[in-house]
Amino acid sequence: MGPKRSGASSASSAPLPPLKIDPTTVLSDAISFSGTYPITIGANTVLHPRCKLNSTEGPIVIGSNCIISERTQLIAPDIDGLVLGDYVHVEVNCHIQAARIGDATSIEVGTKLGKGSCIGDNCTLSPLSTILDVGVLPAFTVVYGENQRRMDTSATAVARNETMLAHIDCLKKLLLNKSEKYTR
Amino acid sequence: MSSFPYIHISCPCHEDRPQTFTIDSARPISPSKSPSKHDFNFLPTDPHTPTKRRTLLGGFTPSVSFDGGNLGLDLDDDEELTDEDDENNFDPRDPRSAFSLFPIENLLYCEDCHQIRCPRCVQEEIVCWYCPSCLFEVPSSTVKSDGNRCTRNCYLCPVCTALLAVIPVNHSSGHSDHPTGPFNLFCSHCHWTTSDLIPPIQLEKPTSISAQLSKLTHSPQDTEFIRLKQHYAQQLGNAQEDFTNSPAALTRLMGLYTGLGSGSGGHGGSRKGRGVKKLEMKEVDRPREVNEEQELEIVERMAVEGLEATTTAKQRLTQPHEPRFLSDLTPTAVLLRTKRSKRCRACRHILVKPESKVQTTRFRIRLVALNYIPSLTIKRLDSTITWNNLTPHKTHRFLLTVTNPLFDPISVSLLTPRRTPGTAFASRVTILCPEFEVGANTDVWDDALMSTKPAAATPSGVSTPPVAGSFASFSKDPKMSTVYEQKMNYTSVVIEVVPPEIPDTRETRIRDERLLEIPIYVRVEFEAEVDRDDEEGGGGKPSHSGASGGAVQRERVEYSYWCVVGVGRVGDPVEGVVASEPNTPVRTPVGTPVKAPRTPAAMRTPLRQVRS
Repeated sequence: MGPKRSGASSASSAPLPPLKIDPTTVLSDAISFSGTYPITIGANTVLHPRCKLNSTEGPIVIGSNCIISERTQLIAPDIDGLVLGDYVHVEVNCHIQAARIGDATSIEVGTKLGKGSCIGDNCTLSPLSTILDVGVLPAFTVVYGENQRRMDTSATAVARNETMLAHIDCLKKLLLNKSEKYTR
Repeated sequence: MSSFPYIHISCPCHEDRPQTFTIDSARPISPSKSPSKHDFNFLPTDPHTPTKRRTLLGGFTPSVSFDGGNLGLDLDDDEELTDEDDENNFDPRDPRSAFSLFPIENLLYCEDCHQIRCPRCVQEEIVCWYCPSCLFEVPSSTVKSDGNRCTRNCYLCPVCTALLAVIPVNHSSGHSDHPTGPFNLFCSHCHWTTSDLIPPIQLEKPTSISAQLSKLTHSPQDTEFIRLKQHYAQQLGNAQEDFTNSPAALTRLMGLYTGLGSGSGGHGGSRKGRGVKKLEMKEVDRPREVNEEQELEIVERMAVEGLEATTTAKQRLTQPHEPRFLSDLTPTAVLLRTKRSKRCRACRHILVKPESKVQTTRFRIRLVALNYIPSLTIKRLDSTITWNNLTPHKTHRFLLTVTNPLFDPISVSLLTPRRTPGTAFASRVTILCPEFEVGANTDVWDDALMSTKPAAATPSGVSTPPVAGSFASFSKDPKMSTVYEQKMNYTSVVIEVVPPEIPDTRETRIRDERLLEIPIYVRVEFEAEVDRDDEEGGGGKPSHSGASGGAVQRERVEYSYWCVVGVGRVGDPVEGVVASEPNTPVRTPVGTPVKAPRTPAAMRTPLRQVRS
């Protein structure tokens, strides 16, 4: 049993799932890890406080240079698990049960991704959009407005990745890194 | 339909004769006096006669009367009184009423007329024009010449209407402060860029976008518009010349109107008869050209690119050239907005005046009705009541709370027709304790600093407030005894509603008969200090009294208004809840099987005392 977790997760006495965390990862205080399947987090990724990762049904793999915001739930849908690519930005209050999220995808505030949905690379989901269960978004899709979709031909992916890196650099200065709390 | 419950206040503008404040210091109005027929004399009569309403209802004659039963009046015996009160009743279902009912938040208050002012009886004046995106004020002369869109750098995405940002086309990884062109307009929401257009639009500079765009986007529609504008400007120029130079210009102008009045047939003849030169305005009489080749091209393009490449109707209509393909959309400039001041239509005094500076959201003048007239709110006393499904024949109890915004304690009389007017299916309504006092709206600071407010200003009930949620036990004042709750500046009373069985007419008729709306006449009396400062005196300051400075005079102010409480919708009848005997007053608990298991005896007994 590792050190006591604080905040929202301190109430539960369940043991942490096996964690495989890169040393450059920033894990804030009060992140809730639950489940039994392993959770892997890549290099340079930032997890905000009070985000929830649930690996009861399957493993969770988060790539490098990702940002997972507050009050967002990442729930592995099944035994195949939830895999996030690199440069994925998940905003506040999302509920994600997707199977795959591609690289450089931006998931904005309050988005719901249905169970087993599959999001391609370089997608953008505007705030409060919803993807149904087992829904598939091809790469470079933008979901906006009332579930309207269009293809992103702006070729701004590289620029956005750079913005992500700057964002992560900034967060690393602002957020307290408590990753030693979660590592055994 | 708004969600239940709602309370709308009737602006006096729906009446023919404006209803004014009765500031009557000569006639003392004792607070214990019950409202009688005499008190309603100042009420303006309805512009429509009740007989007309009855014909609308198909011969039904509702026996509507003010519920004076609680106040020791027995109106059942007095047929004349019933009829006359019927005339005075406010019918929320009358088509005319619909235009004057507003939530209190939408109402203003004119301090000079002492009247509620609804959006219909104010006049708006534009203070300034500004762009909501860059918050730059645009002078009205520029608006006239350049149109009502931002002429600076603010553009909206034609696909999703978000604001566009300027980004360099070729992304340079180095963090240079001065990015080099060309530039794109980029929508950070849906990632649309001006490169998506055919041909793509690329700007050379990141500034003065309007000037660059107007050069780049030049559709045939624009040239057509310029041609038309030139044509009509020329015509107008000729016409002005004609008007100014001709000595008979005025006669001819007048002739235009008289000619219109005498019928359209005799226009030319009458003008010629007066020997006035006929003004010739030429239309650009050219039919809209449809180029067949162009159209075929569009059809073919649609066949190739599919429906996804076409614009939606909304996207198409916001663009002046109505493009059919997404690749033809151009960025739209941001529409300007206005700040407006509002004037009273009757006395021309300003009711609302915003700060003319665009960046500030403050108001110089803002006379909202919430600060002047007591506001009503309604709550369920019994949480099992569902607003959308009221049970017929069941007594529903609601809590009506009157909140006093004034700095003087007020005494309030709530009057309601015993049966809701304007419908064949009238519900029975009873306000337990229709007369009560509401304490002054004293500031927290006033209490803390122990203000100089005279002790007499505080009503007796406020000094010893009863426990919240309990019926006030027998106090010495019988009038106050049935007040449900009395706190700082609000008082709650119980209102009982018994809806009848109503067939569901939503499919067959426009009017929803099951909608239960209760008109309540609110009459407010209070004593206002005559020579008070504005910030202290609230709204009740009578302006005409000639009190000399220094001496604090108090004067009785009285005003009244109708409001409509949308209580809910009556649902389907429930078995076991049977109709009580018709025309039995609801307030008598004996003999009505459906009511009053929860009613404390203390709630009713004082009423009897009043009556005896």
